[in-house]
Amino acid sequence: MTLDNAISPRISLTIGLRMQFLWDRIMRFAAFSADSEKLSDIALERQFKAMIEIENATISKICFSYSGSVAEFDDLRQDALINIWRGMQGFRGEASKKTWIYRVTVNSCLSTIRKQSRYQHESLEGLYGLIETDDSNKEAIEKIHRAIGILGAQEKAIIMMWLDELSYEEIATCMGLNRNTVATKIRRIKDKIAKEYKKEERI
Amino acid sequence: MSAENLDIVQMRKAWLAMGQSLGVQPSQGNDPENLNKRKRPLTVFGANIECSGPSHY
Repeated sequence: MTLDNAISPRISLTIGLRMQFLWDRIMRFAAFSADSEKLSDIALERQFKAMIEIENATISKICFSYSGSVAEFDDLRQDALINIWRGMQGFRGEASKKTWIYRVTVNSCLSTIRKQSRYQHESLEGLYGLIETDDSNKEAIEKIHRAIGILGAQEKAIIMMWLDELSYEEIATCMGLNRNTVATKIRRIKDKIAKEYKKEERI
Repeated sequence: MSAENLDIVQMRKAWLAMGQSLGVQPSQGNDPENLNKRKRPLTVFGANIECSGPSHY
């Protein structure tokens, strides 16, 4: 037996053991990562549910304002929730949650409307059937929905945020505009709404 | 009516009421596990199109 032949089985055994040891460590790390991932998924899910619990009314209002029918409202809301869920991991908390919800929901609504631009709009009566409140409130809600309905997509988003009392700065950040442009746009939108209200009063 | 005459308080009250009155419970459809499963078909041109998920994403 040569010296080489005598040593090589021992070396192979050592290398084999080291490989096994390394493999075990990798597997243990993989298992740990999977557990961490599961944990972070659960945490994310909890965070998502809590966020929706708080912002549910905002999401519904935005989707409702972009809708012309019950089917459209359901689709916009469902797609908005999907997009919020998908975007949660990327939410770094730099903007306020409300501003972020606005940005994702408005973008989601616009994207869905563009892709499903052939919605058959029924009369608004069907959509207004979703409003569950007393008559005086219902009338005011329908009136503001009709007024917002005459606005363009960007104007709708701006006035919704203004109605929700977001600051001009927050609206500007969300819409990618500067503060002065937002102020000018809000003035013009209010003029349009005032004209629409006046028209309704005449009828 | 001019923009100055708009009753902003009333408008904001109506806007707030809209969110509260839409009757959509937060628990309806906000379970991430169910989000990708469309519970009902998409309605386009009045025709029902079966859709198992948001294929347009």
